[in-house]
Amino acid sequence: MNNEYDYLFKLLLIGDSGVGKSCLLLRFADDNYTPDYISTIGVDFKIRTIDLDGKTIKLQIWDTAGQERFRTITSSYYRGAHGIIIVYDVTDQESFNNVKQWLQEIDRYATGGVMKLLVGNKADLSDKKIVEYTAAKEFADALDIPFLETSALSSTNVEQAFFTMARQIKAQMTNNSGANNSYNSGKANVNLKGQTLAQDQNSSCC
Amino acid sequence: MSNDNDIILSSATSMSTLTINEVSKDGFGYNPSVGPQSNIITPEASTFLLSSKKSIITNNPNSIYDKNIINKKNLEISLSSLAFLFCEMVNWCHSNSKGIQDLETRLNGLGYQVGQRYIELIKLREGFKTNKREVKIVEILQFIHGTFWKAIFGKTANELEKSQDVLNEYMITDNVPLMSKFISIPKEYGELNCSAFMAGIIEGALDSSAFFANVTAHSVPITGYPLRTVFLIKFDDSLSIRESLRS
Amino acid sequence: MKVYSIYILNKAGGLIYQNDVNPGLNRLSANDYLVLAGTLHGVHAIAAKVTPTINGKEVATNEYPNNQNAILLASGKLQDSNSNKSGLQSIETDLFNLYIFQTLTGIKFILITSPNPVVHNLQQINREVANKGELNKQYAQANEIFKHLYIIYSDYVMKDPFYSLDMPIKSSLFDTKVKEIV
Repeated sequence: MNNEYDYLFKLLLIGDSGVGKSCLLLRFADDNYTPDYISTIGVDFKIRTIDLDGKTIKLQIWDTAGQERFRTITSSYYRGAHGIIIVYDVTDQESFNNVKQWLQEIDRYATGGVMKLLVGNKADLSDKKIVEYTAAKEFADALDIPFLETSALSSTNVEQAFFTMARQIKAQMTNNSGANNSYNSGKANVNLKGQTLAQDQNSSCC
Repeated sequence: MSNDNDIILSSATSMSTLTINEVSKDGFGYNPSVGPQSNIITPEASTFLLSSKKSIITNNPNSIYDKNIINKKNLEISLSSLAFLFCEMVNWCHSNSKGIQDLETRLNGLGYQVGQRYIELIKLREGFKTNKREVKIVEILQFIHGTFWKAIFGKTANELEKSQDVLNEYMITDNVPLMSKFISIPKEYGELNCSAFMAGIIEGALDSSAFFANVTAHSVPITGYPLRTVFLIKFDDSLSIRESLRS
Repeated sequence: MKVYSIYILNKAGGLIYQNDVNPGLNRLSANDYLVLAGTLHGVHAIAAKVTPTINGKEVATNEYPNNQNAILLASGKLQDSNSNKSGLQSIETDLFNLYIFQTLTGIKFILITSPNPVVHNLQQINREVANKGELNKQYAQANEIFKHLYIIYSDYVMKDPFYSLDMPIKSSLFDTKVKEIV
């Protein structure tokens, strides 16, 4: 049955092609990755299961690689996303410039209040680096979006980013406050043995 | 990713210009194939809204809002509305509560106020017919089990029992509690029963009638009735003295 | 018609309910079901884009009017609870059929059932025409199940304070009711 996970979060990965979105995901979600799955309809999925406060959460990450060809259905991919990760390549100024346009896409198609995260990928190629950390950080701060630089080599930052995002989304969910202190109210050992009282004739005829 | 002649405008302020081609031309309301933009109020939509003469409250003198308070006939409300309201009440109590016990106490407290008031109304409506006051425990319990239950839920409760082992304890059983009909309690919530609200109603009604009691709701499912609930009514010790004086 | 499996997808294409009500299908891993659901979501959206046109005008507008909600508000009557007019509706194979129902808010109910009662490849055309009534019957049956599913979803999921919108459905009452339907 359907009892394997308590929450299902939809995360969306966007950014220019070639910035390494798929590599990033491979790194994060390699605890379950099917390499033979080919992105035939403009979207690929990676799923990572994490535990937060005793709850099993599935992060389903929609990798919109090659989505230019499928722009007409973009809105159905943005729809209902809990978090969106915008990726650029630190060695490619153009991909960073385009971040603005990706943000506009989010405004246009995604639900308001969606979590955003800006990621500068390929940080290990320091000699080719064009987009400075400070510039990107400033940009992200101005928009109040968390920002980090990653590389396919160092996955620690990525891990942290996804967890932070998941935690924030979960906190937004209603009705989970105080839910985890599931102590027994001691009602189990209440004595409920009884004998039927004679029915009053009057009470049943109205 | 986008051509220069692609119009991409950001944020809500520019939505009205954005929607030239996006929004449905002949109507408004959510259209899943269009997405969030379809909810935007266009001039067409507002014309439609303004010209729509429908209003929730009717001017019909027979409407439920205008009936005489002692009228007992056809006082129907929608179970769906009630269920959604109750759903929000549980959520609201839940978000403020520190645990399961606390959540039940809060629901009980809400119900208590309803019970205190509701018994007046039911007595008023019933009074024209029977005009008697219950003074014994068994009498008041039969009133709660029968008339009171029927007034609230349109049916009498299922069983009325006296505890075999504990003095001053009685039980009313409802096989299908109406308020929590749609609620599944997750496993991690253990013994929680949202009928604590109903227990509060009973407690309020009993206290108002000077039968001081403590009422709790317990899930005792049997085959065919997964939500079967037993309301355990524990009367105050002082009542047994009063009761013995009257017998 | 035998129903093998029932899936429910939220409006984002996430699988929030999966129940193999009758044995007969291979079990996949939990993640594979999620991928399947997301893929169907995408295919459904793409399929909606191939809406036919005549003289450059969309013909589907009558079928699925843009102002459906306006009609709904004005008349107070829901014409059809299934808003799946232009997207993918069914997939038929020799071994199973799959039907998709979409609510106005974009929730998708999916049924996987036994295949059409068309007998064999060798007994072609004539037999298939003769069986056309049988096919429609199966489609009607699926729609009947969808209607009931939608009702119990509205009752036992939407009115449950312990359910978070768009999250996996774990309601035991809902499970019971699903079994009753099938």
